[in-house]
Amino acid sequence: MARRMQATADLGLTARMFFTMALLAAVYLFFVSVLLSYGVDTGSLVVIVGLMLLAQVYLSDKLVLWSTGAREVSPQEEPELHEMVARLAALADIPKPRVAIVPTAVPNAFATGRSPRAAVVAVTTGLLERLNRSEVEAVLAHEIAHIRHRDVVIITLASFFATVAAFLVRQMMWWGWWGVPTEGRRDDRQGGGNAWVVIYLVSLLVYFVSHLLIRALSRYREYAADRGAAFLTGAPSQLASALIKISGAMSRIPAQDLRQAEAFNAFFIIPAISAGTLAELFSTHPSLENRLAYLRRLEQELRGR
Amino acid sequence: MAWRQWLDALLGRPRLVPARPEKLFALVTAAPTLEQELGWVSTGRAGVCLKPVATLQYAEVQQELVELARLGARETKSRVEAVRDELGFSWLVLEDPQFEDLVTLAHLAVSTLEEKGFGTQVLSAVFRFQPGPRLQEMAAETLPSRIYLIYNYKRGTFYPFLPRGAQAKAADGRLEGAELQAAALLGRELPVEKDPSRWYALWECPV
Repeated sequence: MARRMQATADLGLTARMFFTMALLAAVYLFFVSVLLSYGVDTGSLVVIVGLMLLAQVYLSDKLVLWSTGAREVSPQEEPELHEMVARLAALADIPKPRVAIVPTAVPNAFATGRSPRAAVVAVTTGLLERLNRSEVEAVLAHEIAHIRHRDVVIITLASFFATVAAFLVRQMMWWGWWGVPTEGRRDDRQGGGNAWVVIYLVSLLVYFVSHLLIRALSRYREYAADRGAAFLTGAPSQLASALIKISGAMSRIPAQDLRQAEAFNAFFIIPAISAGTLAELFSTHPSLENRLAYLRRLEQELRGR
Repeated sequence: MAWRQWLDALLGRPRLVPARPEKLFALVTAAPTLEQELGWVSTGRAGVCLKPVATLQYAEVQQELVELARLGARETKSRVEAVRDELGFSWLVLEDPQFEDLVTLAHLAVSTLEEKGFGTQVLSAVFRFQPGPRLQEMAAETLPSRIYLIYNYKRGTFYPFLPRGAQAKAADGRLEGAELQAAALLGRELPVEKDPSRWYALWECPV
């Protein structure tokens, strides 16, 4: 009994996550080696790629906050929300994140920031209106778990390579369209033509496969955050009822808002796509049924079966 | 231990930090300094704040804990009360005119929780002080009406929490200047939290 609360690692989940990450690494390694073997001008590529990565990691919070219209609120404005965040942060042993509110009726929440020190937790006004206090707490705990697991950096890094692939696909199409290979290679133009086709196809494949893998990784990290929230609040059922309320309200929201919100799905607690429109394989979040089933399992685990 | 945290983060393993109760007793030896250097006088009130688990075993343990603390309290003329605050956290509110007994009582409560396997649920111990005669000559707007010294069980560190105004409402804010000053003085005797972003406020505090 004394060890129950400490034994919180889910081995199956960890294994699946590790497998996904290993596969991702293998795909990228393959991608890079193919690029190198066909003699892409690596110097300039590395510089562009490095800058892109830095910008993505450092600006992610500002970008997400700005594009969602989130406004940072002070403890004076929202004392209760700040207090809940502070206590959960203390329990999780991370510095207290900043708190922001998104003025939209779509009930949702997200966390962003490159590190626990620079983290922001945002909730929508719709969430605060529809959920009761313990449900809001469960949602905040889920976001705190994301911060603690450094999910922004991990998903950004993973998506980054897919972005590089997409970027290259676009470049290849551009060059292929105008028939101009890179400078200084005009002499072996004929051999280069075939190489570009191969690179193009490989980039396309990498783009597709890595996106599927990133989505799988994202889903596992959602489960892990649900698990973290369950242990932080000590009550998986709080999160379950919050998820039911959020998703129930979700499917009633008009399509206009849904499309606007779709770009930020990876950061939201429930993606703004109504259930059944997309196969789970292509989704960043597990389906509601699977999440509720997982929370029921956690409930049993917490009770010691 | 940093690599362990990074590995947990990478694999998304949630892990609640176990309590670090060992530094709490430094408070007993620091008590004279609190009074002489800072002008803080104990109100004889303290509280242990914890996140309850929604299970039956936990409810039993909490019941047991209150009984146990009451039993110990009879010998030292102290009082124990279990309260649940508005945010759903559990508090064991402790009262004892002897500051040393107050610290011991808090320690007893937390070690019982640890024994039962709920050590990870303990958040903090809060000790309430009032301004002693040394502080009375200060200007009214900088004089704190409530003085809290908080022990963070997750980190094993102390930090001051001085709400501004008599109501101790979040809307009035904190006396940050006085807190920094107090932390500097406390640092000589106690393990003080070095990172002020972890000086978590406890507004809805029944102590």
